Amino acid sequence: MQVCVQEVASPGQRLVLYKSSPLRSPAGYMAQACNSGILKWVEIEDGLDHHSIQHEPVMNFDMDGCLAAPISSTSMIPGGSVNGLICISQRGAKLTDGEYKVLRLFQGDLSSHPHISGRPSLLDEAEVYTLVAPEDAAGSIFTFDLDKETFQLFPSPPTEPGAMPKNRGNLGVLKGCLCKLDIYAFQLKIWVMKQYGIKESWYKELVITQPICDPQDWAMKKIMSVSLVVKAWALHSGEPKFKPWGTHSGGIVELEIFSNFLLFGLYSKSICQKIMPPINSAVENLPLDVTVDILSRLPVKTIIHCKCVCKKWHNLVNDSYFINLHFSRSPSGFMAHHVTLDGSISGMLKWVEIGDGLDRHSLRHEPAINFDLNGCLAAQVPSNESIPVGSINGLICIWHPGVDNVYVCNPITREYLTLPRSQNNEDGCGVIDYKFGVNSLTGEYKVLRIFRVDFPPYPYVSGRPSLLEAEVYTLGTSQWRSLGQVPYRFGGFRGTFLNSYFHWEIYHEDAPGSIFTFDLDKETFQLFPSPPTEPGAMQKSTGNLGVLKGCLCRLDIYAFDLEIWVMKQYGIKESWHKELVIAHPFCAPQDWEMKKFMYVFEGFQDGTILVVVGGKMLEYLPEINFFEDFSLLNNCFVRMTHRPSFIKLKDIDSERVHAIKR
Amino acid sequence: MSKKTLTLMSKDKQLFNIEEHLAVQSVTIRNMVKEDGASSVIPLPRVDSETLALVIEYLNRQQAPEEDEDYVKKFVDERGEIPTLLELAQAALDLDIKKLMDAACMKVADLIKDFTLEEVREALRIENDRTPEEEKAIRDEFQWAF
Repeated sequence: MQVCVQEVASPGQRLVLYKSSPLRSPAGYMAQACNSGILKWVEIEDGLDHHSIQHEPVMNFDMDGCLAAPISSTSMIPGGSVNGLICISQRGAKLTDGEYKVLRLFQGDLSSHPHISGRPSLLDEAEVYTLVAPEDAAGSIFTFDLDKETFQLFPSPPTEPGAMPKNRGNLGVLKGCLCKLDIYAFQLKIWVMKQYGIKESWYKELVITQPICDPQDWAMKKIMSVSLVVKAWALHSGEPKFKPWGTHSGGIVELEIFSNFLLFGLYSKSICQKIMPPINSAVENLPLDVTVDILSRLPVKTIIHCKCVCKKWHNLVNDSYFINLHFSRSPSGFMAHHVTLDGSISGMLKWVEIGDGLDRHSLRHEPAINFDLNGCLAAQVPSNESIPVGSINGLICIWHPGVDNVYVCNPITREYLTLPRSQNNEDGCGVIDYKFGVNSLTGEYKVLRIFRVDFPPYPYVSGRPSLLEAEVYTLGTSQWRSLGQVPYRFGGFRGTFLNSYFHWEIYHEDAPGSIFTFDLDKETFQLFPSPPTEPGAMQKSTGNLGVLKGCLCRLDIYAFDLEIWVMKQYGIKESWHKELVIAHPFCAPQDWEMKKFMYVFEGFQDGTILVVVGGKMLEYLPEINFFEDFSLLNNCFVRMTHRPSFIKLKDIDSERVHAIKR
Repeated sequence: MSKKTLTLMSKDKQLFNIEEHLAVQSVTIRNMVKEDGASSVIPLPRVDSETLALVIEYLNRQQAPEEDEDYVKKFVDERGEIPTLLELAQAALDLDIKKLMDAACMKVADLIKDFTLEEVREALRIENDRTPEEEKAIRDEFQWAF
């Protein structure tokens, strides 16, 4: 037997094209019709609990007269298929450098080499395995290495003590592993080499008894390895609907689709992943779902580090599926503005993470998520003049009141975008507030701008109400849209955002405590159900809206106590419920002044409620029915809730986005 | 009344019996039972016998609902080896047992969150296919996180 190897020129563009989506091409088989030159393609789908084998005529290939030499198509023998290229002889591809080689075996000096029996199989670095059957070592395996171009002995399955003499053994590929089908008088055994090249990993996968009944079939089984792959595949997947294929029944059933066809090998339009051997680790083949799930539970800083681990992970964490999954698990927390010793606000936003356990809550400052506003945005504005107006889905809206610039930024992705300037009230002197929210139906982010139209009010008349107008800007568009006059007068100083609505207290002497909303979807102002007025209740001094465990709530402040009302079902007037009464909360007169700016910030499962009074956070403890201070938040001005996210501003508005400096 | 039993078969062809009402905590098995009564063996071609034994142990737990959360945590804590946890997570994913999947992934995340890059690669057997230049570019872009 002699050997010659011929290298084939690079297949060029065609292969490059396929390489761009190497995983997507389906695996399948070519079968040659018995008396014609037609190659019939059969596509294989291998799902977890279901496989399918389907003839796809579009991919059929008629060899008849398609090649240069005028040979009868029936005498053409397809020799193999690699990366979608079919060869009329044995053919392999060296995957590392993409060299294609054709191996030609021909009869030479019969005595000098062990003789080859059975069909060769192609696997991994395109080595060709062939059975040798010299009398003294029947069933041994040797390989031809396409890289080194040498023949070598290869580990074969162990001989079982007391096993019957076998008739024959043929190599095949089973789910990416080299396998051997041993044929005995009354049974078949399938051995699989779980780890390529490791002798100890040969494993007896399957024993099938009396698979073939007809005598002529017994002759056929000598060449049974060819169809082994498909058949074993079906045997293995154990799809319950194909009972005859299940391993428990142990039989083999002929596939109608292959009758009158001769299978000749795995055929796939592109680099076929299935020929990669499994590496000794479940981790290597870890499903993406598990990887993504684990990554989404890591702290933000670690996720960024993971971008460096490998390219696959980098792509994973940039994917919108990951971004959404991560945000759904992102811890809740809030941003507090750091106050320097002399009482001025510095540009540092400190992030405090909230842990809300069933019987215990915790607050923890996490410096990694701190966000330094100093000089990070385009305009050179003193940091103490940056006002964070709100945070939604990890995006923070920042206002520079002096110059009336507005930005939206994501401190995690280091992006910010500058909102266009409004044509109304251009100098910004009359602007009283900005609000930042998201329409949960459409996912549109909107900024609301509220300003006085009669500014400056000359001559100043005490108590004269200002005329307010509003306009709205949708992120991703180019201009502000006017909403006209605001039909209500603001009583409370903040607008509480919940369920795509901003909520405010109405300032009205005759009807204190009414509420109105701005609907981010319809972009209209409307009245909203407020808590009932209790008969005989004392005149309250003020009431402020807040959010308590996902419900809208109101903190009513009376001369001698506080009341917290909660709207259990959003929008249902009857669901307003008096949750709590706290008596005599403050002693010092200056504190009484502060409580005008007191609102409920957050509530925990253990009954604790966070309350903010003039930027300072207090903790209401149910067991003492009173408040306690936080040393953690000394020198801090609590601004807003904030949950870090990887949401990309670039996906919302690619034109206006810039990178945050440093 | 005798309880109906199902047989699950691992990748390495070991058989495990489990009562049907416990097995259907797995959404995958529940769907199979619904479809054809699953009278025969249910093969789990990606789950090895050691992992399947763990899954069966988990499905067989006798915990009051209010203690279940703690039990799952303890269950994965006691099997704190990353390879075991990953196998468990994959099995829980295939079988669609959400609580177990969540707990196993959470535990792995807890274990690796303070690892260095090299340690993460080693623990999860990932090959570094980044050049030092590429890594530096990411470090520069996200300077604040390093």
